[in-house]
Amino acid sequence: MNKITRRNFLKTWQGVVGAFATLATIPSLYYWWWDQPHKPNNTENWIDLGKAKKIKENLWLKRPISFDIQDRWKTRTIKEMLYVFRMGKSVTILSSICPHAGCLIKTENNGFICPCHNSFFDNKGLVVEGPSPRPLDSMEWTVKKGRLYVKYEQFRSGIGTKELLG
Amino acid sequence: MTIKSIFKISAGISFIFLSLLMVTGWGLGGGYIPSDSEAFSSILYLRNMGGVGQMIRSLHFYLSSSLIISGFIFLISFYILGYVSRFTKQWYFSLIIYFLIVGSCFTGYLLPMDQNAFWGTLVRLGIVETIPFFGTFIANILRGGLTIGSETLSRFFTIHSSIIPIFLSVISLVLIQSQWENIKLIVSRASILYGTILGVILLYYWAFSFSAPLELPANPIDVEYIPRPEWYFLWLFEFGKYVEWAPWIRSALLPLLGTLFLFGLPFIKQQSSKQRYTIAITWCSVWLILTGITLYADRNLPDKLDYEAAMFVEAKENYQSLCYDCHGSTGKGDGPQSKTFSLESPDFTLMAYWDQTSNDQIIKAIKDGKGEDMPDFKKKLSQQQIEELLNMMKISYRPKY
Repeated sequence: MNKITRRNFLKTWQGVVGAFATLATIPSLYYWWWDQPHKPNNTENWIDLGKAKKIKENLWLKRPISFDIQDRWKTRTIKEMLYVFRMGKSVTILSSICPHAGCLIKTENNGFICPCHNSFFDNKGLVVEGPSPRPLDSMEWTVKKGRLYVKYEQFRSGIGTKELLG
Repeated sequence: MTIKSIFKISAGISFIFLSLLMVTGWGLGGGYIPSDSEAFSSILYLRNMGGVGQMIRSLHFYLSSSLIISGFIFLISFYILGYVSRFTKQWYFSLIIYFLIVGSCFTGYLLPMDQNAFWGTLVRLGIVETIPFFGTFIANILRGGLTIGSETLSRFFTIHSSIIPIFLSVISLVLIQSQWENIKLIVSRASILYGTILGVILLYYWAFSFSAPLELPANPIDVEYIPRPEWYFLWLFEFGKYVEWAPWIRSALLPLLGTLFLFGLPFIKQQSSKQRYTIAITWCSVWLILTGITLYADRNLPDKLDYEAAMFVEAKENYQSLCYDCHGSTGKGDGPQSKTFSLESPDFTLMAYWDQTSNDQIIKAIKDGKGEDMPDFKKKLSQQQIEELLNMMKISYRPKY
């Protein structure tokens, strides 16, 4: 039997500890990937935006919405901002999230500007100037019994096509 | 002062900054709660308490900026001295340490969960997301979901306070062990030791005098907020406004090329010391000039308001929209509506008013209304907003004597 010296004792322990550490690291790292809700940040439900006729015509209006999503063990309230434009019976609803890097756009000169990287959009949400890869994302809407409902969806930023997040 | 002594001082000072950062970090960990709803409040509490908590936070904040600068000076002088090919292992270790420090800044940025933290991180994660193939994967792992929430905070907190410090400690120890003979020489040099001590004392003084910034709590639907990066990244940010490049160039190609360049330096044919000097100075001045230009171009953007200042602005706006009609713009109670009232509105500019009315009475009057003419505002204003409104009234209208 080998005599246990300090050196080979440490060497053995190095191996054992190393092996256990690796065994523990892999599931730990895997957990971070595994524990991310793959549910998109949107809701199945239609969100009520109030009486359609009450919405001022010919004007971009800010409409904050909030809805609950199930996030792991808890219900989380998500707040988002929408821009609503009504012209007679047709409505346009745009997301306020810039398709470039995810900042919020604001209205300026009959159009929109993203203050982060100076993307300009016209009043239909099309890109006039700047680095945005696609027009502003429009939302599906419907009118039932005189009330305007919107189906909120969020799309991946930074790409040219509208790809649903999630 | 020779480059060599700059090299030594920056090495010593960076090491001390790093140790102090870890220690102040322990202190902050005693009161910070990494959760969506409580992160901001815990930092605000720490700040309002003043004293040692506030001092530690300021110290931690300014130490991190100082470490970025002193580490940068260390790397530059490392290069100028021509040590890169002679001490390849040490160069690599220094680079890794520097990248870990930058990563620590990236994750620490979000922790206060104020406007600046939220929007800065949102934009950065947006950039991460444009990395080809792995972008969304990495961003989702960091976020723990698709939006910034409590999981993001706890993940950033874990990276910031546990993963990176452990790696930093291990690598620093290896570096110190391999350089012990040189470090002994550096430490025994009195002038360098005193220089380092002076630097640290200056930083303490700075942290005492200027508190670390904190803005309003993160508001994900505030379309008026203009996110801006720190001054040293500003040029890249501004550049992105004028140059339309594909997003992956910024998020993947440039960082990759930069990293390859830094790690490949030992294998590049060595120039003379004069050439190295010229190259380093040129790079630094180009960066300084670009930063200067962008700072000048952005001079008209509104300043980022600190928490108190922003609350004050909000309180003034609330006063204008809710109180002005009756109480008037100067607080004398002579607003346009006040003439129709049966009872006189109080005059906030009289000391007698403040002597006779307690804070609680004013808060109650704003909340529940008073008499026939004062409406209640408990639906329109939160407790916090009412308190700020009272603060604003005191500062603006109450006589000083």
